[in-house]
Amino acid sequence: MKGTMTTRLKDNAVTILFAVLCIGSILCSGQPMSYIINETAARISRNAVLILSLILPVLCGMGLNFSIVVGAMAGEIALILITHWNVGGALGMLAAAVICILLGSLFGFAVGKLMNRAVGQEMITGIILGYFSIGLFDLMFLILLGRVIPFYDEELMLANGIGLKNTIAFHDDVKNYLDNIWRITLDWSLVYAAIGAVAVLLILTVRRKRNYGETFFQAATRCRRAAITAGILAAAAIIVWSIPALRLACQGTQVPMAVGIITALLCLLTTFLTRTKLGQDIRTTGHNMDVAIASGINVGRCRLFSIMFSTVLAALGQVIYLQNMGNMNTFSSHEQVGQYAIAALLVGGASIKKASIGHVFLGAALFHILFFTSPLAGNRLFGDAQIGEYFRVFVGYAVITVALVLYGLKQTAQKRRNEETKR
Amino acid sequence: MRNIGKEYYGVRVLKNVSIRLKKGQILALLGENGAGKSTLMNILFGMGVIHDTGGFEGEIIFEGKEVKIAKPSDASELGIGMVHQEFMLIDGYEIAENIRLNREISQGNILSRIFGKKLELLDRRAMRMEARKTLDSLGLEALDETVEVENISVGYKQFVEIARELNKKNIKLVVLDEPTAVLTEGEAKQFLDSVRAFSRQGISFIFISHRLEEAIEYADTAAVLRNGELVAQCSMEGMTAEKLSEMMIGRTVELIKREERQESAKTGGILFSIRDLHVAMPGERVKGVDLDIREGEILGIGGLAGHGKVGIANGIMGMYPASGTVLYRGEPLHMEDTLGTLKKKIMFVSEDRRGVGLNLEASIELNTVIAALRVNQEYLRKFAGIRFYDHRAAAAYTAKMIKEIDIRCTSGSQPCKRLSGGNQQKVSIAKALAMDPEVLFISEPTRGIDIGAKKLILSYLVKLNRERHMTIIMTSSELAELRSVCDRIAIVTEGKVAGILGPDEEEYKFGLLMSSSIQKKTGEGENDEEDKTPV
Repeated sequence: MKGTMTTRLKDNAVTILFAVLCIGSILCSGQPMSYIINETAARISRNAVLILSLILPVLCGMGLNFSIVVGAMAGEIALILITHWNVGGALGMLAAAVICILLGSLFGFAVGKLMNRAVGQEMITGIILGYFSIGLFDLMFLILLGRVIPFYDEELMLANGIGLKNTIAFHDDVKNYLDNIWRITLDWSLVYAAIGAVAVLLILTVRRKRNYGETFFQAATRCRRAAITAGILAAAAIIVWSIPALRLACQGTQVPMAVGIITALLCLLTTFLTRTKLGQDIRTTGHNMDVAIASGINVGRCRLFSIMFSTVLAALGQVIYLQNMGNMNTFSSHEQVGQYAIAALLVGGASIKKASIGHVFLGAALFHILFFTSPLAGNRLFGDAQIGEYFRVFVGYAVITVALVLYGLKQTAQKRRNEETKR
Repeated sequence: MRNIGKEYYGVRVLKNVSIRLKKGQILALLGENGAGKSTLMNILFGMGVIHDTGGFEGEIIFEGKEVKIAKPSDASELGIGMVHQEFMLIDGYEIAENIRLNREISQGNILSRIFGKKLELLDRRAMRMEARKTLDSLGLEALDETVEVENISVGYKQFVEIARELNKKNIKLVVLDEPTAVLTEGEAKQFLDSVRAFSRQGISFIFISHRLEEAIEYADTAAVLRNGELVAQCSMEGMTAEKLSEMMIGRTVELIKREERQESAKTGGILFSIRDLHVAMPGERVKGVDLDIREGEILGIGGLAGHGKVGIANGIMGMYPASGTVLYRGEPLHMEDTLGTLKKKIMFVSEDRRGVGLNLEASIELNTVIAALRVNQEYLRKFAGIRFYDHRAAAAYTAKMIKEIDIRCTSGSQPCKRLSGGNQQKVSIAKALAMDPEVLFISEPTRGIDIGAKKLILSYLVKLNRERHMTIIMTSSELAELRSVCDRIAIVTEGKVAGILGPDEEEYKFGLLMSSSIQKKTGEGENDEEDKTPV
């Protein structure tokens, strides 16, 4: 028992370290609880889909998909186009989603094909591919647009008619559109989320009961993940409603429900995929490619699908992110997408070989709390916000490095253990 | 299979081989390592290596029809299954998932009706039930199908492998590549009994083995390959192990041939003096060995697996942490300083030739000279004060060794991973000899290699001893082998030297020394089980 405790602690060292840092940073920043909750909720809703997009490639054994930068670009192109066409509102968002899916699939296909030629080197390929595509994006929209590509838009382009402006502000019916469809305070949205999770649990349970003829209770305990999720959300709702101070803080926080619902649906889709035949093939490929090939699984197609799915999700995620920001830095807003999303996922406890939706949300919360509180804490402690700023840049990269090193160490240890048992 | 031929990198590994197998029969495919057995089976199963290297000649006729097998899934569709020598299992999956790998049972849902079968949800319960049935039919009622494969023993893994093949509805032919190599005797018997039971139900088996007794007992017919050619396919009735091995080697073999004894070994001065040696090698711990090694002798170190015989050489060469004193020519030897030990012309051929002994990706040539190059700065050429690798000298030496110990390869530049086990062992020896050693530690020199190569290596060791007066310390699990070449044999039991015997002592004395611990153990009730995992 003691052994399992220590290994558990060791396995989650990064997450625990971050939790401690977050608490310290919150205390040092001296901000009220309502502010912290407000910012955290906003950042989770804005980043969750981007982080979620990383899961499938991890399961497929391709590591952390740094090339979601390419997906983010697809999302940006979609937003540029709907701004140019001047369609907004629901129609505009739908158009953007369609463009995201089309362009994302196309880009994802290209990336996936490339990765299938670089088996075992996916991560470094992804990083360099990201840089390369940034160059391509700049070339396209800074030099070729207006000069070679016939495109004209006074609002979006530089005065000489060549290239896009550095900053593009979205129209009012795009800016925060998804956020503003339906906003409710956090205390109520927790209740809704709990009810939703219980409903999903009920559907699964009834399905199980019908298929296998188990009793209601048996079936409910069998759907473990769904039961745990429902339990956590219900508990959170009860806690918030029973502590007045916390409820007051939550009441000041508006939650964009449309974004929440989209995120929840995409989470369900990802979970669903991992439970299907396709998902099993993907996981088999991730565990051991040679075995997968020998048992007749089309490994290349599994990897291609994972990357395409990831790229499309990243495109959608970038649209959600940017409509929340209200404007975009045309040539730099995609630069850090991969690093930050990956750092957040790793903080949540994921590794190169395993990742789950739980890691996505936990990581998003911890990483972003530290992200916005550390400059505040730096300001309050040392009178210089810049210190906190440096700290968070350092943290973003350090986390990725630590995760990679830990994974390497774990692999060596595993190898040694295997050798011992073999003898 | 008719008139099968295959070339790998210009080397012909199969010539005009035809084998026939009837429904419900068990065929034993026999041959030395490198005779082409695995290649033949890879062709039958459509493995990628075959087609990546230019396909094969000849035709495969299955159930009366000529068939094309271009990839493993083609073979599966025809009902041909293969149990590989290396396990083709996913460690992180439970047994049921492994058994139904890529044949998962799934249920339809709304999305799968729109986007196709790939999106059907898995039905784990049905998969477990299916797996249960097959495991029961193999007599494995005790094995829980929901356990993850990484947590079960090697023997069970082998059973899971075959359960996966037998679980296939249309299975007609199963190829077993050395299935019993990793099993204990009892497990092997249970395994082969269930194979026989399934063959009675009309499933055919091709079964590759090095254990001739097994083949004679269980197979209906035998096909013997030698150097890529079929020697004979014959019935097993009235067959003996001697006859089969004769066909495999192509010459009459004396399995145990005594080398002439040398008298000088008894008079040589003491070269090594080992006192209270402890080595922390996992699974082969040495717990206080006292041993003297005479100059010019061949000393054998024998004993049961897990008792520490392998640890002695590894400890002296600094591969694992060791303590105690070792005097070499009267001077203390620093065991942790491997480079210093090597410089004293003491060389080590590791029992782990694929891991420690060779760099599998590198060429034969580089493997052969690397130690000499690193330690003695040989095979280097000075140019403008900077030392460069002298390819010409290295190639010349390698060519000489290839000829001398008959390494079968295309050329010295072939990577070692493409060689068979016996030839890899020969390269390991060539590497040690490039140092021109005075003392050679060699561990398990014949493990996993065929009889022909075994004989050659053993007699070469004797030749080195006689002609170059090399002192050889040979560790081996095969007592017969030690008795055929060694001057003295030390038996290591429970990490200590239990006794030293001459090679001509009677067999039961060796047995007694090896088992002395077991007798003692029952007396003292000492529990030392964890060190005794079988190899």
